[in-house]
Amino acid sequence: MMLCRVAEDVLWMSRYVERSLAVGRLIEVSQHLEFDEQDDPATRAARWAPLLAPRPNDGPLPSLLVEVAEERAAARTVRQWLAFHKDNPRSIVACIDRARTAARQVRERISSEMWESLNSLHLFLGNPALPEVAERNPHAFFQRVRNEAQLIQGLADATLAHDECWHFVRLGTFLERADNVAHTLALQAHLLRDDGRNEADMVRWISVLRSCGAAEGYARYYSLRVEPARVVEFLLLNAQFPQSVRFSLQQAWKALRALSADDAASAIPRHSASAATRALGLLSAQLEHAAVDEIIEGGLHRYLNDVQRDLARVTDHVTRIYLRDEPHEGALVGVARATRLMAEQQQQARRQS
Amino acid sequence: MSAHPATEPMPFVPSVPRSALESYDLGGFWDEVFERPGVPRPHYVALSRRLATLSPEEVEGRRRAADLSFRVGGITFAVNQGAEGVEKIMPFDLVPRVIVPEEWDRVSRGLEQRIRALNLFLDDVYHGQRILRAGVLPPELVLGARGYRRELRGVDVPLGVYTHVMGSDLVRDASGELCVLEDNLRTPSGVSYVLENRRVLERVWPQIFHDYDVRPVEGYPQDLLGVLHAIAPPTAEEPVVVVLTPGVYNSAYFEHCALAKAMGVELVQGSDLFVDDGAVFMRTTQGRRRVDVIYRRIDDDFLDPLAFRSDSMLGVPGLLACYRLGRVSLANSIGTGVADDKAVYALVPEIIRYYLSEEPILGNVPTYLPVRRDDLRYVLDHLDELVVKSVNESGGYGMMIGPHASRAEIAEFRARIMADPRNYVAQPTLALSRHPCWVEDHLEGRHVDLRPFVLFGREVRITPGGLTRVALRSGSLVVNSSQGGGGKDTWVLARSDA
Repeated sequence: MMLCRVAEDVLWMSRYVERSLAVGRLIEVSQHLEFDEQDDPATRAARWAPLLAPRPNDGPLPSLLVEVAEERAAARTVRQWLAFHKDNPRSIVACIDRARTAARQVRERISSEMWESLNSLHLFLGNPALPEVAERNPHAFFQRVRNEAQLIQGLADATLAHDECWHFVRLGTFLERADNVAHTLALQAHLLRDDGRNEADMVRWISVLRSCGAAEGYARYYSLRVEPARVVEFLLLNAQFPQSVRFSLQQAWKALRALSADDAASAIPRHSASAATRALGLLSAQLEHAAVDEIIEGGLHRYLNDVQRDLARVTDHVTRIYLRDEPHEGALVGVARATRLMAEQQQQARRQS
Repeated sequence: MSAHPATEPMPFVPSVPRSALESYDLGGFWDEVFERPGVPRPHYVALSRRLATLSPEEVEGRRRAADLSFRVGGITFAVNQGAEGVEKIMPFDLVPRVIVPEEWDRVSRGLEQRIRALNLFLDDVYHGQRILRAGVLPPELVLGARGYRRELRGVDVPLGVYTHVMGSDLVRDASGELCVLEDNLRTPSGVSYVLENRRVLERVWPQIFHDYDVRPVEGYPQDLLGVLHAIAPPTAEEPVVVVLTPGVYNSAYFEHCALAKAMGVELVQGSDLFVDDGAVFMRTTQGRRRVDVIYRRIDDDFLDPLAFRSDSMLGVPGLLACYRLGRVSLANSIGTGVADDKAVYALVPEIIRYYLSEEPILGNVPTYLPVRRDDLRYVLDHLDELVVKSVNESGGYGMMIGPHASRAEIAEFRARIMADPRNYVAQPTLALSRHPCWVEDHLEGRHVDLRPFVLFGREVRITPGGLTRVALRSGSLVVNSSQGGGGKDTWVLARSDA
């Protein structure tokens, strides 16, 4: 049993931490590409523009996007926007800030270890000299942020009881991860259209793997033969690798099933509880039985869009079912009745005194 | 890679020891540590010996470690600055305050006597009003107090206890006796600092505990939970307890979290609760769940928009009705403000005598009530010597310290007192005792008070010590954290032969 407000904050805390990881990896990998590719303005725009592509609910486009499109913005400006800018709701700093705000609302519910690591990451990112430091030694910076964010996730597993609160943490992490990996893949879907397997494309596909933290995992499954279809297969459909969309969906579904198992024990039967579980189960099953060639044939971009749309629906279901316990109509009647009883008591007391 | 790289102890570079107490000046005040210049009181001998040999680098290192510990732990309070809250840590002084068992014994007996008398008073005020009929207290003073809630007339509260948590402020008078400066009977805060100051000091300076046998404080949350269970409605078999907070922007939010967490209960906001059919429920992921006991950290005024301030977004509509019906218990009860009204405070010795037929063990600070004609004349003639306080404010707001006030301020308070004498009390300016505190690389005397925390359910329990608050600005008498005050760990010794 958890307060709705608390469950919502726990879920979003966890999503924002996972999001900061995804954003950090994307920046790091794109930056890495700079060393591998020649730096003419067109390539540069091609490299950074996808990262600036707006996501649903992100608000108006930053003017920066226009500048990148017009090849005026320096790579540095883009990196700073992605990592540090407070106006960018998906910047690492903004993600950790939001995660920390959510955690602060529920710090009595999460473990002190989690709160303290999140708070110290937040304090670390608050250092005004940091953008400069990160520019000078990006690897050390991104590694530290990644390590600390992963520490928070690890602490959730190691220090929380694996009860409802933990299931909401897991649900947040894996919904967010599935969404981010699908998004990263969608950004590169256009590369599949070119049949030419040139060297630059290979570098890009490796960078896709890296930006999902999956380069080593891929190598174990497919050796280092980087084939676009295999990369898509690995990131989308692999059942064992923790950064794949399918794996993430399975974990999210497990969390949701555990949450709805609690429903059965709750005093009030909840007929709608299965809607979220069912939607996620369908999506998960779809990926379980999918073949990568068919997906590519039918259009990878469209497929991934559908996955992201379905994920958004699952989030809506979860929000409606678990996080919004609206007062039902009887509540006001209850207040009125109690107030009347109180008035009677008061009268009685007045008569006595 | 560690999550807290910066909390690792700083490497201590030894320097030539120079006594940090070398030029310590008692300044003519009652000093907690020194009987006379250079001569520590017996229970401070071991501590002052240790302090004298510390290098400034070591102190600085430990102080930084302590600050970091508070910061990383998010042990902060919000300072009221418009809508935007600024998170600050409460400055922590490393030198603990030490209290001997004999003195603590007197203090705890005095506090127990006080809380019992005040609860008999509250019960009387909300029922038969014997004390008013007997002419011991002027009815207009009591019934006219802002904290008096006529909605509570005739309501029987569980165990007849109204103030489950009391945080009285104690100070030393000129002779060195601890006496009560004010009672906090509504939603006293600060107990989390008692727990955290101890935890942090143990963490950053464990050696300092070796010379002393210090009584633990960590039982507080357990004791509090015991009280909350004890007052649950009799119908609740396994009472569901919650802590009700105004939210993250409240200055004591950290404390609300810490207590809820330590007790293992939900921390709720007003919007998490609703009233249905005379009972209180919380909205959970599993549907509604009945709530039996609310440890509320919201003032009466904001508790129920139907009964009190209708613009309150923090409260729960219908809560008062449920409370009156006995379907939910509140700690503290509604209406306790009448007993910690600063004017009623002046009469607490009378209250103790009336209900318990005992002499007060802990004295009061002499207090003038301008509502009485003689007192008014005296107060107006001596404004430049007195401390004037508004009866309804706390946190060091709404007060004037005569000797430190400008002519304009004095004139302003004169006008205010004459316009509304009931709203003010005046007390002689106290020479609060001082305690050595680290200032840069040496120790200087700073004024301190003491806020012990008293719990009252089936019995009275007092956590040994309490929060020692320090006025960190040189010469300042204001110890409130909202006004630049700091804190110290406070030790009650288990044995007197330390």
